[in-house]
Amino acid sequence: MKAILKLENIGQKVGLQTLEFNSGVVTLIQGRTASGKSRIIKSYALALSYPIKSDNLINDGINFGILKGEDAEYLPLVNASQEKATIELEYDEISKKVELFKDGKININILGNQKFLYSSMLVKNSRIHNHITTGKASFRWIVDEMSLAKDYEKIKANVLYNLDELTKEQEEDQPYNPKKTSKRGEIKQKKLIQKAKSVEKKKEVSDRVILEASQKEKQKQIDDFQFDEELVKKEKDTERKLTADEKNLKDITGNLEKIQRKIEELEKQKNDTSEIDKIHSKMDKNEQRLTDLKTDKVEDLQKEIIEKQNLRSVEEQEKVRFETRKQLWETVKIEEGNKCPLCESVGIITPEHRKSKINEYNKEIKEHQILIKDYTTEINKKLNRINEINTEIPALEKQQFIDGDKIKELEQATKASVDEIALLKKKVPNIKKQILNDEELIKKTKQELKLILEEKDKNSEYQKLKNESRRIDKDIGMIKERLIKIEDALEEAKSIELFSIKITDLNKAEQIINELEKIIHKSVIYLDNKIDEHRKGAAKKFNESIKNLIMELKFDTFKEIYLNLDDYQLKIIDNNEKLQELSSVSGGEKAIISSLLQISAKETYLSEIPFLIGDEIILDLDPERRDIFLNYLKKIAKENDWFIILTQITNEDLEIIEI
Amino acid sequence: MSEEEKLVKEIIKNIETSVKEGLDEYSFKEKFEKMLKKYVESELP
Repeated sequence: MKAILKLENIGQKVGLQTLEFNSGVVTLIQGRTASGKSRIIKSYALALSYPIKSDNLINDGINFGILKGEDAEYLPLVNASQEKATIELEYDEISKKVELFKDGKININILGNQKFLYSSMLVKNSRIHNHITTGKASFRWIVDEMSLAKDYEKIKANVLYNLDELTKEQEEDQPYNPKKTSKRGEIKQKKLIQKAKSVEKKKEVSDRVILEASQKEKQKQIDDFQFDEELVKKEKDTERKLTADEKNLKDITGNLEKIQRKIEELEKQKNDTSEIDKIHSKMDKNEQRLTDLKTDKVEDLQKEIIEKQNLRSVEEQEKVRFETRKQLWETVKIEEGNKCPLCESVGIITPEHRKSKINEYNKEIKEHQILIKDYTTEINKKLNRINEINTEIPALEKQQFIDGDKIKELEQATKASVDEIALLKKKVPNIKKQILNDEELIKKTKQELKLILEEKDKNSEYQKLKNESRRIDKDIGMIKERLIKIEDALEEAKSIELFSIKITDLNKAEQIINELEKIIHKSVIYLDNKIDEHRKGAAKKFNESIKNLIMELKFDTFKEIYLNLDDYQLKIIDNNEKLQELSSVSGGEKAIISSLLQISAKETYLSEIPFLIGDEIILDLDPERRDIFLNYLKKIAKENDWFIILTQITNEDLEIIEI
Repeated sequence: MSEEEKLVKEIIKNIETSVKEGLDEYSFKEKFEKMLKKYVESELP
């Protein structure tokens, strides 16, 4: 029989690679380090075992490098540069095709067998090898995995889950939680709730009855109460009236104050004569001035001016005459025999004579000048006076007229103030009377209001009753609401759901649960027996195979290796018939045990798949045992027509595939 | 045979069928609960 393995984009190799294997022989794959030997072993493992559903096996698959771990981005077998890889395996009319995608998706045309990973792989990190090398002697897992015990175990877990759901007792200190409570616990809780709610309901009903009675009593008191509904209205009306009256009084009082202020102001105005006095004083002064101005007549003054002008003219002529004489004397030649320029008398004119004459004339001129000046001053005075008379008199007379009018005006204003004061004063008594009336009215209204309030105070008892009645109503409402909730809770606590069936009789439900418990227990007993039967069967078969293999290989190290049928612990009996602990055997011995168990598992549990693949594991054996082991592999390959494919072994007379 | 015994027998039959046919846990769970439900119904008046 031939097996053709076609690999495309697997591992480091891009493109298609076709390998051909023969059955009935042991094939050795040779190649340099990293040439892809393990890639071929892994491809076989994946094609012959996938899909892998067991959690334990998924971890093994990840360890083998054929499945992706949680954080892996793509399947480890797919070439990193490619999106897709394929494994095609043809043997014995079987054609398997596995497509692997970078995103982790796998397409497979024929399902593999998960047991392949446990029993057909002679690799270092197989589960059997790991157990042996780490000294774990418990092998119950292999009899479970390799027999139907595992299926019965799963069924048992399912059955027990239902039993647990039905029968677990509710813990006393745990609050009721339907999601976490078993049905029996739920019944227990519901019965307690029923009891508690029933008591609570009774209490609530009693409270309500008491309150309702109390409410009736209060209502009766309210009904009996002689309450004048108009009183509140009257109080409000009176309050409104009082407010209006008070406002009115305030307005009137304000008005009176205003009038009084006005009177004061007018009185002040009336008594204030300072302005008139001032004008009078001014007019008196002006009158005096006018009198003064009018004492001189313009015509007289003009006559006097002409007189003075004439006098001044005479003086001026005189002055000129003396100035001319002076000039003559100043210009006369002082010579003997000259005549006097004035009198023409001959005499002796001396400088002293001339000087005396000039001084004489200067004196005369000066006197005349003084006189001229005096006349001029007088004339100017007269002229000024005339000017004053001509300008001031009309202005003063006009001012006197204006001031006279002003005085009249002021006197009229004063008279008006007096009239207004009289008028206002006339109003005051009326207003005062009105104020008194209003005050009386307010006093009266206040009295009325006091009476109303006194009356109302008497009715506060009525309000108290009404408030009390309202409070009782509210309490009754609350109790009613609570009662509804209690009713709902009671209703909820009155039934239980078993498998979506609502059961209203809790005792009946409890009885059914007890019966179901018995039924499930019987089922579990059956399952336990089946599990035990299948485990023991698988273990016995396994033990038989190990025993035969030890005999066949003539390994003298151990007398017996087997799984204990009570606890499925691996027992190792040495040649001295002494029990050896797995943890105490040597590394070489562990390699022997591991290989024995692996081959036995293959022969016992998965002889129908004609492949056994190994990678490096045989290297751990000593050369002598390696030969024995290899010969045995050749033998079983031939006897069973199996494909036994190995890597990393010494070159024997094996079929060799160079890659 | 009591109802209880009948149900146990039926459960066992179902277990064996499930194992024989290759265990489908979901399907078994459904069938098992259906049997229990049927039993509960039969026990109610």
